[in-house]
Amino acid sequence: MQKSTKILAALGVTALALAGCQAGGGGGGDATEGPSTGDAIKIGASIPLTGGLASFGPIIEAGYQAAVDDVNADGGIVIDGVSHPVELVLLDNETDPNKVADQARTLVLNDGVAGLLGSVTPGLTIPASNVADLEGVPMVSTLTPNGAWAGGNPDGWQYAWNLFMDEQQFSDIVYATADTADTDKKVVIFADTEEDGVATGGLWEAEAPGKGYEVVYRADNPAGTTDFTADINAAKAAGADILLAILIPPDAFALWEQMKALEYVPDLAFCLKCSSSAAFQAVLGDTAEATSNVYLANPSTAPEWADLTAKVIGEYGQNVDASSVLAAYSAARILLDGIAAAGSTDGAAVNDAIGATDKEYPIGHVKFRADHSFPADAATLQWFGNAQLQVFPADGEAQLVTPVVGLQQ
Amino acid sequence: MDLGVVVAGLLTGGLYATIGLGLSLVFGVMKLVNLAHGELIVVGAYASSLVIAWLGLDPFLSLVLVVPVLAALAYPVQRYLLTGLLRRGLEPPLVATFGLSLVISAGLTALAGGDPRKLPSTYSTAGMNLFGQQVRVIDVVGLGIGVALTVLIYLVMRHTRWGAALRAASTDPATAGTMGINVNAVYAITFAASAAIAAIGGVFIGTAYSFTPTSGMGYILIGFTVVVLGGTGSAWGTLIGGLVLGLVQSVGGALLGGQYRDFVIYAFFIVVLAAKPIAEHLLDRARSRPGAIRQTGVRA
Amino acid sequence: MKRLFDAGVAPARNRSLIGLAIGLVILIAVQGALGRYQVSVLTTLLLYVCLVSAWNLIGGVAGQFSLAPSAFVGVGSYTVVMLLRGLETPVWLALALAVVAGALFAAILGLILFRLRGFYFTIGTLAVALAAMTWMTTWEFTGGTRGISAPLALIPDSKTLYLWALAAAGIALVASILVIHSSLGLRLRSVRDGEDIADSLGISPFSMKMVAMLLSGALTALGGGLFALQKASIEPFSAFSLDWSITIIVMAIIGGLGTVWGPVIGVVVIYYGITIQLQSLPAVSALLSGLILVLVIRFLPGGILGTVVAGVRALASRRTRRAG
Repeated sequence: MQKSTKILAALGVTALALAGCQAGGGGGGDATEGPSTGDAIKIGASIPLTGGLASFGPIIEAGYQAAVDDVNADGGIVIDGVSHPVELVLLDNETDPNKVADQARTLVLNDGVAGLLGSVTPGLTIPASNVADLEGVPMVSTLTPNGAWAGGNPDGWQYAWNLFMDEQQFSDIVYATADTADTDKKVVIFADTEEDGVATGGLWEAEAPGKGYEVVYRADNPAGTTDFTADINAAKAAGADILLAILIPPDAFALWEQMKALEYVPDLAFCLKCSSSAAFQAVLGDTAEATSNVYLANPSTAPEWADLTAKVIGEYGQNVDASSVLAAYSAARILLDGIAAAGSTDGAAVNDAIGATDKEYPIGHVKFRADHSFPADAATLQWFGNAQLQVFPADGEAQLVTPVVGLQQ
Repeated sequence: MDLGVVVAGLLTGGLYATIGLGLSLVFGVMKLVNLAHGELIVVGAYASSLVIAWLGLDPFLSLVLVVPVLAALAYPVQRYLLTGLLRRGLEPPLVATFGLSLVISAGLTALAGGDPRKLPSTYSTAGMNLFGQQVRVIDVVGLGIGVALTVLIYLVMRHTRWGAALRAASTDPATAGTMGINVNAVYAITFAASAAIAAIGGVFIGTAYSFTPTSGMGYILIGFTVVVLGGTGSAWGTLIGGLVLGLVQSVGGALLGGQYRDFVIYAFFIVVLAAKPIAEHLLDRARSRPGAIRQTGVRA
Repeated sequence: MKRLFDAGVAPARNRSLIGLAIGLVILIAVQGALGRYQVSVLTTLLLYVCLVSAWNLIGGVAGQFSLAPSAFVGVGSYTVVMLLRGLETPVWLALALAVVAGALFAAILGLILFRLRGFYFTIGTLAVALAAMTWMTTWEFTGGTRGISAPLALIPDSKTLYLWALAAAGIALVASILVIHSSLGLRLRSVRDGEDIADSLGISPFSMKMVAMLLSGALTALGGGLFALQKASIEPFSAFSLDWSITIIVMAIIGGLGTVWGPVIGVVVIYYGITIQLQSLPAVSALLSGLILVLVIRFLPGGILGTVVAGVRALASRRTRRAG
């Protein structure tokens, strides 16, 4: 190649890079350079719109945006008689924990958000909670189990708050549900080696004897495992009739199909994490029938949230996706209500206001504990067609079905 | 530990062999380290899902369309990008395929989103009995695919004129060129064949398991482990390498605990790599050939 | 003055060192004038300069294409956070020990893998990187998959972190300058260009590769430790993620392998030019990085810096030719 052409090429590449500077204009979607200007009060979040947890991204976004829209429809946040519209800024962390802290910092320092909202799973939420504490900006998160989240800061969170289930409920609800069915009380556990897999799998195993159950086989596989045939055959041989699984969706798809092919039909099959998204049934179809999950109980029946609940369920169906949207809505609403109650965007003032929350939201009657977490009610949900209905504690909608019909040939 | 563990390992090994075959082909013929191979596999799966959505075919039937299209797309990539880089040493083509893998996975993410997908089929949940073990039909199909591809490649390499041209071009491209073999075309067709094999693997993975735009990365190391184990450029070696790897993973996981399943593969691979120079040295001594021309991957 | 403007190794080294010193002074001076967001972006940028310069020593100068920088980032991260959480060591000591840990890990890696060449070495480093990550997920001592977090009270504030990042980038660049513009650099490049010939000339390839690896590993661990301080909480899948290796290598190649300032250019183009500016469109930024990498390797083998330097030389020689 001619040297002059090479120079042109080099200049071209540099021009490309600089053009990127012009086009990008510094920062995320609705952001502006520097601290927030004008009337708008901004809140922001780093959420997974692409990557492994991409199925949660649009759901979280919908919940946060709905809360912002509702507050704006009511006239925004009024501070000293001036009405401020609310703006939501979202950045895509590509399900990469390494990007979360950077993006949270960008939201605080570049977009000037008055509050942060969370992501999903401890891995993606804790880095942002760290930034919240370090920068003194309040943050409300959800879709992150309380124990793991609190464990992310052994010294106690100052500015970060979380509303979701306690891991203990994953065990209590599961065994309580099993008590209502007629089983041999033999349990098989399929856990992956991710943080929640280790924690929940360990909890199930530890609590089983006390509740009168016996763990006859336990399989721990790295996330991304695709072959469970040996484990399934071992579970069959051990006579396990209650399956407790906590796996990422791709692994769960493989496990469920392999169970069906190997003619292993337990009385009860729980899939946590994997069927925490309606995609589980969308991908597996009939195979998902009668699979159970432990997730948020049915939303609050308080009259002030009836319209919202009906709208969300109408849009997402009667399943965990609707519950997730409402949980995200609750988190955003609590943050915005905190700013309104504090009457300012000062971090410490808003933080205190959030701490004083004592009100009914779609996720339940929220009052934070000393470690800044709120334990939402959990329930067993079972797949009936493409709906996930609460079967325990019984809410009048559906009855627990055994065995796991979807796994029958 | 029972026969079930062994059978499971062998069946998975069939898939590993398929992955390794594509890599072994391009590495054996033109010393190309194709870091984008995992992405080619995933592209095959996505292309198939597109065809299925459009025509409603069975996933394996969709290969009739997917394989030629992907091979046709791969041909110019080798012909006009990678072949030129091969002359400059080992790194440039490696880096180029690196870049391609980033482009492909980002492109798939943008086009198809990050959700896991499956290729719909009625037989992914069908079971059968093999040596007294209950196994999935699709897993046996996977082993069958690996064996069939191995046989096919072996026959083509050994018993066709085309295979002879390939072997000539890989041994000594310059001389092959003077004998009237169009080395550039040979290289490009080899890469296209590798992409075709990747597509077949992708359709299998899409049917038996699930896939996302970034699942390709996970298969790369397995592929290269198989290639190193099996000896580069040997079809049967690759098959055996794949089966051995599947066995090592399954048995290792059963003995040490499931959470070490992946670690066992990496540790095994490092041991094989570390032992390779020693093994070659011993082989040299055994054949009393002083420091002969060995394939150690050096480009002087 | 003569030692500054002549051709030759020593003057080139002195020019680079003075240029670096000026640059560092400017960056320290402007800190007060910059907004908090810009300080944060610069901090990350400087840390990447440290990591990429470190990889450049082993991958660019010594020519050993390693995919394992992610493992060193992880080693540095965990060393720092574990010391802060467990023993509340002062930050400078934790970072120093991270450097030592990085060097130790580099020594082990070198001992296992340096008998391998080319493709086998590269794939071997990939296996080590993945093995390190999976091992960390099972190791209870470091928290397994739960990870660990540093006490927030011990995390340096953003201004201090900025100065640390500046120091790390400075040390990495000084090391690059001293290595590249010296007889050590010459010997490393001879190993890169023809290992057997270098061997026959009396240069021990193993020692040379090991020196480069030790330096590279130590500096990468330093950068990793500082990155951990930016995040406060770490766990194996992110601290040892292969994404670190990918990003570092892309930056190094685009900037220009084997040069002192190539890594800086690569970091600025990729991190500032693409990642930051296109933050709202991450799929596009990944695609663009991959595309630029392919274009650079095909048309600009010396990276941006190599091409610009060659271009300037071509212009200069054309001028002298016409004049003469």
